[in-house]
Amino acid sequence: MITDGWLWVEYSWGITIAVLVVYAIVLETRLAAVRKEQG
Amino acid sequence: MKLSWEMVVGLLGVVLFAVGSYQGLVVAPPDRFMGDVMRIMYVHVPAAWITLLLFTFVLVCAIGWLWKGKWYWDALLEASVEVGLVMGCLLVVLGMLWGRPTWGVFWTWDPRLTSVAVMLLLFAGVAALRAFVDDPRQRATWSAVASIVAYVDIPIVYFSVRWWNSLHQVQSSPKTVDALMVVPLRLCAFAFLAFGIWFVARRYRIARVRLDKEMAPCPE
Repeated sequence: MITDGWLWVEYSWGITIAVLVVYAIVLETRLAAVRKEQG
Repeated sequence: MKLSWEMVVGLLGVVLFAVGSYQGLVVAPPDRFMGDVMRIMYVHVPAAWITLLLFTFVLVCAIGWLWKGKWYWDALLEASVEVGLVMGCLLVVLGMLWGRPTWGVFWTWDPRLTSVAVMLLLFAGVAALRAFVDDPRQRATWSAVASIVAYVDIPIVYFSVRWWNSLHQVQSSPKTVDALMVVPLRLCAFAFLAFGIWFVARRYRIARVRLDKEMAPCPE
């Protein structure tokens, strides 16, 4: 049995949430920028 | 504030992911052999499914462009390749975090891992190709052909665990998994599906704005 399992689970959830949130922010920022440029 | 349909799908994804995480981290039991580390499955497997689904959609877009020549297929291809790469990178990182405590290494040149690495390189190549070609029609045709070539690796990724002797386990089915584990897996899978639709829809809008700008007649 792996004893430090929760540590790896915490890393996984942390990275998943970080990637999803950062990518969503990047997309919304890029979309706002191109729309502004378009007028 | 008026919410677009994409934002509603995104919010649905957030709710599904929150409930799925609660089910996966609190309600579901640990695995008999792997213990709690198995809970990584609730994010790793949905990331794998959405990556394969997005790259399959890239194939549909590529065929759609070559067959019909409508620009929305090209914009959808661009969006799906980028979102697929983001989800694919997340999939690999999550797999590495699962591999370290179970296999003892973050990475090994196992058939499944190698074919996934090749898949990401091939679709990164499609994205790079799009960045280097200025002519929109040429870019659309070349990247559609490159996407079809890249897609050849997807069945290899899926069947690699059956065709070759692999460290990676073969696909599970609800019949072989405890019902308490199936629920969070499904909730997280639908959450990732919602995130995928949300991201592709937003990225599609960015691609359309660029296309419209490129296709607009030059001012006199």
